[in-house]
Amino acid sequence: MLHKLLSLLIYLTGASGCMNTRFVSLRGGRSPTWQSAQCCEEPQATWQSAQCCEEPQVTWQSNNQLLSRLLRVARSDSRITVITLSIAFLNPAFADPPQGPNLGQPATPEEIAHWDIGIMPDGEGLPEGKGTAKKGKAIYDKHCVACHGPEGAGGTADPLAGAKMPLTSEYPEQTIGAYWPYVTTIFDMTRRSMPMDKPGALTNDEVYAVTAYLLYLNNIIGENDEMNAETLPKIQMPNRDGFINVYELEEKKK
Amino acid sequence: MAGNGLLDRRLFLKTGLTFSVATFAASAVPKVFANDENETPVDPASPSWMHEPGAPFSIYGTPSKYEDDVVRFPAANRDVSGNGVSWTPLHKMEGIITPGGLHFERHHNGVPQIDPAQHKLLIHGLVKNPSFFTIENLLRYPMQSRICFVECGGNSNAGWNKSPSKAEAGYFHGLVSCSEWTGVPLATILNETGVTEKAKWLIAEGADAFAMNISIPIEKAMQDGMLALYQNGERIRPENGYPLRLILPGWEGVLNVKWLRRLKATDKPIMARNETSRYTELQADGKARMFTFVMEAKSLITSPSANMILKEPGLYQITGLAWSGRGKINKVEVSADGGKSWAEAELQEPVLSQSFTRFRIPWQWNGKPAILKSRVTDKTGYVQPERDKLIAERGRHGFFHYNAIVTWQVDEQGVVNHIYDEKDITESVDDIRIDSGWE
Repeated sequence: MLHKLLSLLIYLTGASGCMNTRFVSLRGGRSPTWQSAQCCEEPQATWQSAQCCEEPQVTWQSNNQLLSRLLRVARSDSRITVITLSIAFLNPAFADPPQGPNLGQPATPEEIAHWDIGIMPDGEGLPEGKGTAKKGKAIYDKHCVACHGPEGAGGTADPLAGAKMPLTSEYPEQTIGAYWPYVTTIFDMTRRSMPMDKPGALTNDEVYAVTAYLLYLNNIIGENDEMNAETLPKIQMPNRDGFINVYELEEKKK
Repeated sequence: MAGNGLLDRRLFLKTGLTFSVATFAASAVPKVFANDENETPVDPASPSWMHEPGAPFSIYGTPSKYEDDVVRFPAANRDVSGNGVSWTPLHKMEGIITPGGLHFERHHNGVPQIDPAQHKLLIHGLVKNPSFFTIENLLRYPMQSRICFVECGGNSNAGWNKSPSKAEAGYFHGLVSCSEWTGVPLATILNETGVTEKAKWLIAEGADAFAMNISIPIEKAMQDGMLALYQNGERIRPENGYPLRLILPGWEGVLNVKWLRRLKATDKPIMARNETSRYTELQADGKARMFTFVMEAKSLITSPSANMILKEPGLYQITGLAWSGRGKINKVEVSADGGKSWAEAELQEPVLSQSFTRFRIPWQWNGKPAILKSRVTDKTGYVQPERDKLIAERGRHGFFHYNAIVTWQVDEQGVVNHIYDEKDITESVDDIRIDSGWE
């Protein structure tokens, strides 16, 4: 921590331009104005350091600790005060956010369950219900075919099935079977967003059935395989490993 | 000094010359003036509007009727009219602020008309105090403002096409806009709800008919995420997320969730459609880039630009926009000879982090063909790539994150065209249009 403090102070001496034009309030170390949203930047060597003012920004928690510690020192030594003040501006915007009036109203588990329609990739959130491709075809042909085309291809919307050209080809086809890495995405999106003319209208059984049909069209399951909260998350998508997590790679480089 | 007529960027400032800068003719889209067909020419020394009372006060101002071609350009799915985009007319604008009514749009299923009294934000998941926040309550919170751009991950994607887009600059690169956003620091609210240490992601969800959802690293949310309520001084327009949207400066537009209704803190991303099937970039080797949040540096000359006409040789001001999701712009260079030589443009103050930066440079056009380019370097040292370099790196099926140097050709008649460099023209130019798929 001492090392960090020292390097921070050294860093600050080279950043005096920050303080020239900016109004500063000491109270609570918080900035009352938008200036703190900006930051003073030293030229940076590499593009990996995504945001400005990387130096003092370890994590938001440690940053806050660092700031309050410096503020304690500042109170006893006025020479450090000016330097300390500028920390708020070196920090990214809201590293030490203003205190709110605490007006959140408690949400009960029942309320949360009613609001939370998301399905996680491990299946968390999947509701009761079941369906097969056989049943799903009728639902698809009624609600989906107009935009997605018969058997998941040929409409104005994203092609869902029937890819013939691989992802490495000149005409890659990014269908569910060829591209989508997680099976739960199908259920999550279909239930929340589809059909476009009446989103949310399908029952859970119908969403399971349509999901099963789309998996069947992509040769991932059989026509009579039942999809439910147990079986669905176990489906391994063919392109599961086809993605590079760029954010994670950049974070590791930092 | 760079070749083909580029002048010192400080020319206008230095000399304070009062000569009139030749103006560009209107774009190829003919301007339609309402009600002026039968108007007789006025004597500018004593025009009719000096001899009759003007219009009365208005409760909300609108642009001049003579500016009715400064409009967004919408393109929607023919089966679902609310699914598509509309581009900001960057080529008809100056400065860095986008008026609310010209801010680009990307909707997946239309613009919800939300009654703010019936709208709540739920924050739950890995938090100590799961809570609802009404809009009325949020308006009581301490707010901050910042100017920043919001850019759709799919902006400029016609650049992946094999043949150059013939659209005006804004209708090609205008899925980006820049506003002053005001709202509550997301960190203030997250601190109140007590995000636990296990929480690594926030899953954001909108209250539109798509219930658009997406995962956001909690680090970014805490760093400079904002629950925005105001845009350019007024409450956010419905098409930009009224009554509440997320602002994550410098990050892909799709993460700046509009009509925000729910934030769930989790230990992993939800793997929503818009972070798996879409907003991922398929590369030539068949692998796709995922969670490419930051919008890399981009610049383009907005004037002169595609489909404008230079009426005559003479002195012109080249102007354009540059921005970077990684911080401030360091410099913008302009070339008038297709990249053989470059001159540094003047950057208009203020130069703000993750914001539009306006650049300008004077140019003496000698009436001969010229090739104009701009190239931005941001504070991290990242240099905007040429198109061939970007394609060599990413392939041509990424759809998203196209940020290559834009090339405008001025011919002997003064007509400005979008072109690709010769080295960059593929042998078999079939007209594959990858930019049509805004499902």
